Amino acid sequence: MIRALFSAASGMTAQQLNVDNIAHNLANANTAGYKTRRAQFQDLLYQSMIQPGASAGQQTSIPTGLQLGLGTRASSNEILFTQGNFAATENPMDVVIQGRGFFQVRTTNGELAYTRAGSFHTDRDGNMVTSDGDPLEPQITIPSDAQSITIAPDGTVSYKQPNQTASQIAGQLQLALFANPAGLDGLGKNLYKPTDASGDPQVGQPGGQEGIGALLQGYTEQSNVSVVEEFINLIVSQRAYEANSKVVKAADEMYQQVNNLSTR
Amino acid sequence: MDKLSILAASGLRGRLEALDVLANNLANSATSGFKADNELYSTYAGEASESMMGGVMSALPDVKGRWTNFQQGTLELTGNPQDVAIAGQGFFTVKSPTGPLYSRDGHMKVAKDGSLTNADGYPMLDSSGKGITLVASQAFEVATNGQVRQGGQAVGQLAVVKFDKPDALEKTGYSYFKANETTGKPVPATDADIHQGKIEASNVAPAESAVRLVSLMRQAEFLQRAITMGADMSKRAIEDVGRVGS
Repeated sequence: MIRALFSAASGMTAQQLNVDNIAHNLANANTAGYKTRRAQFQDLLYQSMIQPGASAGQQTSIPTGLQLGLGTRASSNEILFTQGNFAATENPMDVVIQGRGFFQVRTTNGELAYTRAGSFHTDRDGNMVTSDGDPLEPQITIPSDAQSITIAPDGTVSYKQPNQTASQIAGQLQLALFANPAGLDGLGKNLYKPTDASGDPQVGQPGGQEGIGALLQGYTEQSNVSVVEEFINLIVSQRAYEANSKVVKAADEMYQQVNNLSTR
Repeated sequence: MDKLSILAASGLRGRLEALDVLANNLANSATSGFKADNELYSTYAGEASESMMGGVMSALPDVKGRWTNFQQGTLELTGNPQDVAIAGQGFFTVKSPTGPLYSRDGHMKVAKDGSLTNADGYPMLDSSGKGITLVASQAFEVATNGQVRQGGQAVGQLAVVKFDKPDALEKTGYSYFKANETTGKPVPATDADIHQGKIEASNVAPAESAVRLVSLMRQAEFLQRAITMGADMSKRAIEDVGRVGS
């Protein structure tokens, strides 16, 4: 009895978390470079009332046993790093990665962080920075009078200065690749930090190592949230919550009936 | 106690246990690879009940076991190349500290050292019982026969196994099944197809469960009434007998 109540409660908690997750995804449906998070669930422990395969007599054994499950739990909400759509922006400082790589940026506390959001700007010293002002690593500096900035598929940033015909090279963007990007630690503001689960970053040139991805200038990578899918998940989640709450109600009513037995 | 009350009480207990099973199913309607359980009733006829009841109503309904519904769950498209799902009979094999475990939950990860693991970090075993090691930073493909390839080269074969008596598999929680003597040894599942980028959803049928929930509630109500009725009858018998005596 109590088992049924707790199982149902665990189901409700899990669905609540699922809805939190869906809400977060939908809130970021328009965040460039955002990657969908998906909650995953596992069943909880089982209480063995009769062990499967236990002997029921000298000749026979119970084929299946009686195991009562104790509900569910949310095991993780992993990040899905599928490629988002590309949106043309005409801005020469917008770049997308056509692959699995990440841009390296140095955050204000001096540590390296990784991002897929390739909307860059220049700060007052001419350094290429993210929209939060974090400089790229390695640092790339573009003079203030530079014109027609080009970012090549291999990450080479070049520009032309007024009254010059030859273009100058400012530097080369580097990308990092992770063995298990789903294990990255999300820091917010589109930044990720490597963990033991993600593995160490393997830095390489865009378009070089297999899968790292070439760059494409003048586009931003939109979030990979599928609004339709999220809404369907929302409905499914809501219904599952409802079903679990019905179990709570049923368990309560049956409990009440048992209680009534003794008070008659 | 009278026969009616004993029978009804044991029936009521059975319904409460059935509710436990149903509650666990519904709680796991979002658990990937979850297989719904159903309870198994049997009639219990012990020596005590026979002597007590004179063999007229000696059989008590009792929840004696459970059977797992291994029906295929829907394959959900996730687009994540690290997700695999089985279409057909079979289980993935993982190596846990306590021995091999079997699961239909195909969330995989590539560990730091390149070994292919499941979501809990247990190595996914290949058909020869060894782990599968990949070049960590490279993408990989899983063919429908379970072969894992990287850059066109085969690097391993996911072990997909089935059992003689899958019903006897023990559920150990966290989406795992454990084999025992009754289940028989795992044999390669040859007719199972592996789909990359998909996950098998839980096979809990919500509509069916809702109907079962209602019927369980009504049955419990009915049995409770039967117990009350039995108690009322005894009460009346005692009172009437008392009146005759005075």
